[in-house]
Amino acid sequence: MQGTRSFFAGSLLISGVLIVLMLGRVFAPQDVPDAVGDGYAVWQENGCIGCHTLYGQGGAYAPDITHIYSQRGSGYLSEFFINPGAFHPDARVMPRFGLTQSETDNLLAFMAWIDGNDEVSDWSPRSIAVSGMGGLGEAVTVANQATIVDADPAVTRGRALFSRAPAICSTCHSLEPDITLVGPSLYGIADSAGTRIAGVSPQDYIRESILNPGDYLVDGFVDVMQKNFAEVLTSDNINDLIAFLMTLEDALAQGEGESE
Amino acid sequence: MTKRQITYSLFAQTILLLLLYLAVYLLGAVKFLGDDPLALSLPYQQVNGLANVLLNLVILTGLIASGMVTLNSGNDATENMPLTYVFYGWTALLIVSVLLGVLDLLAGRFMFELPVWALVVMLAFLIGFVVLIGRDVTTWTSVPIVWTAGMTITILAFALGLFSSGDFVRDARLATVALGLRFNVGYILSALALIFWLMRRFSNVREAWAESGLYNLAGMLALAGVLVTLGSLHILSDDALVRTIGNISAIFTPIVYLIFAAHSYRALSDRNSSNTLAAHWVALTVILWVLGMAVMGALMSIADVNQWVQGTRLTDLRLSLITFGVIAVILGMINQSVSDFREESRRITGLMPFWMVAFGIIGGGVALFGAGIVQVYLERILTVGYLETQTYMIPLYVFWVLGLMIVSFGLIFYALGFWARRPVNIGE
Repeated sequence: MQGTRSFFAGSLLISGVLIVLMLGRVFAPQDVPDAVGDGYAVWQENGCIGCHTLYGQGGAYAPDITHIYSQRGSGYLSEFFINPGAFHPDARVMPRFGLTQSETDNLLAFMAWIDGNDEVSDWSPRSIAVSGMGGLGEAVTVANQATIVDADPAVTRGRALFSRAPAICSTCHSLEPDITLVGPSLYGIADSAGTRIAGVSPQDYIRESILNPGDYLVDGFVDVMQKNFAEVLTSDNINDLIAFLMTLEDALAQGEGESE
Repeated sequence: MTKRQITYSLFAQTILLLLLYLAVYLLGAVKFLGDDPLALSLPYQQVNGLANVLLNLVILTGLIASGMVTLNSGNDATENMPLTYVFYGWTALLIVSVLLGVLDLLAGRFMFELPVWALVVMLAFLIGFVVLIGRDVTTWTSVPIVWTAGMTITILAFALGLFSSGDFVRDARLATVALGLRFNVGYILSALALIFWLMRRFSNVREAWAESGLYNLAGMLALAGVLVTLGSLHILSDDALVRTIGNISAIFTPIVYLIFAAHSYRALSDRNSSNTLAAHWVALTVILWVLGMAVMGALMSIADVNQWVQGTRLTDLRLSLITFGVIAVILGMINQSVSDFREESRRITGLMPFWMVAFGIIGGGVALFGAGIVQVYLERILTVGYLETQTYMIPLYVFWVLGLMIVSFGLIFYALGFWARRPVNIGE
């Protein structure tokens, strides 16, 4: 009996040594900027970890947002914090937390720090998107929606890219007339883009609006569109998106013209 | 109050808290089904926070009451003032904790949701219970030693939650260790001591076998729990040692839990004439722990596996299997103890609640496993968006909720049996 009791004590001792060893190896605190620390406090006070995960740690009710800062950018996120329900109205609705400007800034500093923290291994193996279709989306689009397989493959690719990561334009832009999600509806963009800025072709207008969203701001809208599409999209991606958007003609206006 | 009254009251609190926990957990689960009319008035994070607090309080209260039975016989009819004061304090803490959750005043930390001041109070009462129970132990055999070791590790794990800092990554690592020590080591050791105590009640196994078996298994399970815990750190710390520990855990943990299953089979296959349902509940625990630790725990220790599944419903399922395993032991202890209090050998809480709980947990677990696999495949491998993936998972969530509802109804029947067959001499 003494032997088995010693075995138990020895096992606990080894377990304790392992814990202490690991405490020494991985628990040294980093030098965290004040704004990041304050942003972490905002994160805790609002119970964000109860729904979201960072590096896969936390609740399972809302998406992992470890890299949301580089995926969306600070302008988009600032707008999102003000009225989250406007962004994914048909999905799980995030409550409004009524953050002050300084709380928002600190939370953004925290999200940026989480996104770029090189102390943590490359989480996750593949990009985790909040919304938008990945591989399955392509399969569904091609297999089940044969009627919208376009003659131009670039249009088909652009159509898929419009609603999938990393662009997921559909989160903020409706394709229906007069429906505003966050940014303006893109219904009829093929016709309206050429009339917006004198001397600028529709294709160039769309390209510039993707790469530098603040340049051609539509009246009544604020500049919250993410600014990193030049980094997250290839030039081929952007060409495909333009090809797709150039198919979005204003059928209503054309119908009116014909009837006149 | 007498020790017998305190023990019985703690068991009653355990059942009440368990019913409350399941109601809150079920409410959280229903939110996964789609349109949620309470999305803004009672958001998920509030429900989830309260559920987490309740789950831990259920287990702690049940383990304390069970410890009083196994270490002090629990049937002592003499007044015990120090224990009475600690019991009153604990009861007040339970009420305050529930109120904090209902009023959305929990801390939102991921180590344990209680605010720091409440956590300190809880730790003080826990230490009080362990010291007062330990003080009256006459012979320190394997059961009191392993139960006390488990409770001590649990207390230390909770205490880690006090060291929260302004560094999220450091906190996340600390939380991983604190949660792991609690669920993979502390709770399991204390529950294991109860299992071996119950084995001596429902089986013909000899005392010497039970003594040496408990020491050996407790040592191995503690080591396996620590290896699983440290192995899961790799996402937050890509350290070669962490990966090595994880790989060792993937081999060691299944072996240890199969040895545990073999011990349990030895006891379950040599039943005595006891009519209580302790053996049934122990068998359920064995199944849940083998699935949660030997299969899922071991697989998730491997870095190349865990990086695909961390944060999905599979992580939640693993934790559910372990915690429901501990709860099953506590329900078995309640069944056995009330029978002992009544000085008779009968089922007390009935077979129907047992089968409902067992089928509900396993059926709901299978649905959650399916949901987890769908999530990994769509969200993590094909990179389909999280929100779309969740929509595809709704049919599986329906079965998960149905499973939880069966568990809830089973526990309502269990509670009715507990109340209907209460010992008449408890107040003496």
